[in-house]
Order: sequence, then C-alpha cells, then structure tokens
Amino acid sequence: MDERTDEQLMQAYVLEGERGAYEVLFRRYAPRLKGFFLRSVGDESVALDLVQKTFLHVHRARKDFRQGSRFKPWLYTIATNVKRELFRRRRRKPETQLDPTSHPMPITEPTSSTPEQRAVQRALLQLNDGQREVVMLHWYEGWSFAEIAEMVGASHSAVKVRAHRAYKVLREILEEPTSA
Amino acid sequence: MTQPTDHHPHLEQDRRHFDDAALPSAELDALFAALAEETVDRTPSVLDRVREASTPARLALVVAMVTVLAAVLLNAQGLRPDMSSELAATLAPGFLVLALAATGTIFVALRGFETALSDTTRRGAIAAGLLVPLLVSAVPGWWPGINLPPEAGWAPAIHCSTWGAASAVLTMLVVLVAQRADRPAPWRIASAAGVGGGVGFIVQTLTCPAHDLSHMLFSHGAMGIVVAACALAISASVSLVER
Repeated sequence: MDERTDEQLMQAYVLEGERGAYEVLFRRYAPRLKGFFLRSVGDESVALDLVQKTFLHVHRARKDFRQGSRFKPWLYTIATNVKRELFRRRRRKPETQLDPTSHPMPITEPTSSTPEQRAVQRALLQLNDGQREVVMLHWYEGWSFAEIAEMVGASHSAVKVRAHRAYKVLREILEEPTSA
Repeated sequence: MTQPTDHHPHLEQDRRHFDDAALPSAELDALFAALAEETVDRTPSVLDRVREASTPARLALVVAMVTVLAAVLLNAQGLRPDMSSELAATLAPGFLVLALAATGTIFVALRGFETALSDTTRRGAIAAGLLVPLLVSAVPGWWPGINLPPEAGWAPAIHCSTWGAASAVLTMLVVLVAQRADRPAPWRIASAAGVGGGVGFIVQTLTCPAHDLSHMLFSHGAMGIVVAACALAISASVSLVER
C-alpha cells in the first residue's frame, strides 16, 4: 500500500516519470470513477471505458497539472468532460437509447436496480443536463458547490441555483405516490 | 442552503448502491494493463509528444507553425504590388486585432479535458475565430487598395477564395493536430477553422490589393466560416458512417 498523497504521486509521475505512481493513482480512483460513470450510463462496460479514457487524459495532460493544486478535483474535471463528450457523441447518433425529451442520459438501468433506484433514475431524467451534473457531483460524489463550480466551468451562484432547482424537482417527483 | 432531498430514502439507497460499485482486483489489473499499453508503456510517437506537451508549449508550437505556414503561403503568392511601408503601417492594426483573436481562439481550442470551459468561453472562441475576420473585412477605409475592374470577372474571387480556403484548411489541421482528444469536438473544429480563416484573411490581404467590400467579405473574410461548415459536415458524416 503506497502511503503517498495523490499530489506526491502526481509529482513522482510527472517529474520522474514513475510508472508505479500512475498505477497507484489508477488503482486508488478507478473503482470510485466506475461508480461515478455507472450512475450516468448504466452500462458497466461503457463505464469502464470511460474510466480508462479519463486516465488516458490524465496521462496526456499531466504536464498541465500544477504543483500545489489538488489532484482529485483535477481528475473529476477530466471525468466530467469525458462524460460530456460521450453524451455529445450519443446525441449525434440516433440509434442510442435516449429518453423522449432528448436528455443525454441513457434510459438503461443497472440490471440489479430496485424499484426505488429506478424511481430515482426516472427522476434524474427529468432534470436538465446542468442540473443533473451538479446533483451527480454534489449528492453522489460529495463535492462542495465551490469545487463543482471549478469542475464544470460555472459560477458558484449558478451551481447553487442549479442544485436548488434540481433538488426541488427531485423531491417533488420522488414524493409522488407512484414514484417507486 | 437547504437540500430538500437530503434525507430522502430513495436517494440515500441509490447513493449507497453505486458507492459499492465493485471492481475486482483481476479486472483492475486487466484495465490498467490495457491503459498502460496506451500510455506509460508506449514509446511516444511525434503526435503523442505534441499532445502530451503542456498547454503553453503547444500554444507556442502552434503559433510558430502557423507563422511559418503563413510565410510559405505569402511567399508562394508574392506580396501585393502596391505594398509599401506606409501601407504596411495602415494594415498593421487590423492584422493585430486578427492575430490577437486567433491566438485567443487557439489557446481555448487547445485546452484539454482537465480544463472546465464554460459554454460562454467556448462560444467566445468560436465567435472570435469565425466572426472577427468577417467583421474587420467589412470596416470601410481600414483596408486600402484598388477597386477591381469589371473585366476581371470571377478570377480574383476564385483566386483569393482558393488560397484563403487552403490557408484556412492547413491552419485548422495544425491546430487540431495539437489538441489532445482523439476525435475533436465540433466546437474545437469550428474554432480551429476560425483561426484558419483569420490566417487566410491576413495572407490574402497581404497578397491581393483589391478592397471592394464584396471581395473583402467573401473572398478574404468568410473562408473560415466556409471551411468550418465543410469540416463540421465531414465530421458529422464520418460519425454517421461509423454507426
């Protein structure tokens, strides 16, 4: 078990080209990222592809990682952009199963999902892209609004407004008697 | 701020479900092995080295390559016959505006996935790249020159459009090669074409003395938009074919 911090590992990877440091970062974050992507795409193999793509971009962009900055928000910025890229491509391919209101989120759900989880998935589909992205990062990943603002390239207040509206919509839908 | 769903049981359950998304050790090993082949275990090609350079280094490289490209295109066509130091001084402010817009657009277009770019920034880069050449070409009096004689017909328009489009395409390719995605997103294609349009405008205005508004607008100023439209159509067609 490598005890170094993410930032120390990045430093070793960028400055000394230490392969092991890159591997430790991958092993540390791949499971978490898989969950992050799985929530949105509902397909395990696609989620794993996105995890790999995220770390491919970590590798390509490693020289832009600034000393003194935190690794995890940087990683999630890449992951968020990788996910956006996938949805953008899916929008252009009509055969992809999308919901009737053209949300970029596929309807496919994990096979192991419960009625309650399906209700949440359906409720999330009612949100617009920006609102859903904020909920994913805030509720499921635990980021603060300030951190999310940095990750998605929006102002702090815009992120708070999106979150407030999104949570209101979710509550209204989930409290409907037929939601589950 | 209140979070109306903080304690909603469905959301709580959903969060826990995905938090437990398992990734067995063997699968993690296989994933990393495949990733390493594409990254740390791979002998980097020239393209890899360009993509993996820092953003300031890629920006400097692209600006240098575009400058060389513009010089080659200028040399191939020759400077306009009425070129003088006074004329150069008159043209310089317009070229400065174009060069600043193009550099800003390149900088945004080269940002990688590690940067959170707002929609406003992306739209601004596209607008600066595509519209600045068109707007400056329409400013009366900014571009001294001669009126085209009627007997010249379509030849000057065809000449400048062809060279302008070639400049725009080559510049666009230089910008796209230096960005990091395997397949550039449409906004990056449009931005890169816009930079190409700006370079094409500068080259054509340094080689062609005509300053009729219609010639300036369509044959000097609009090539970025034409090339962007063609490139986006090709990109969309490729996506359709790959379905």
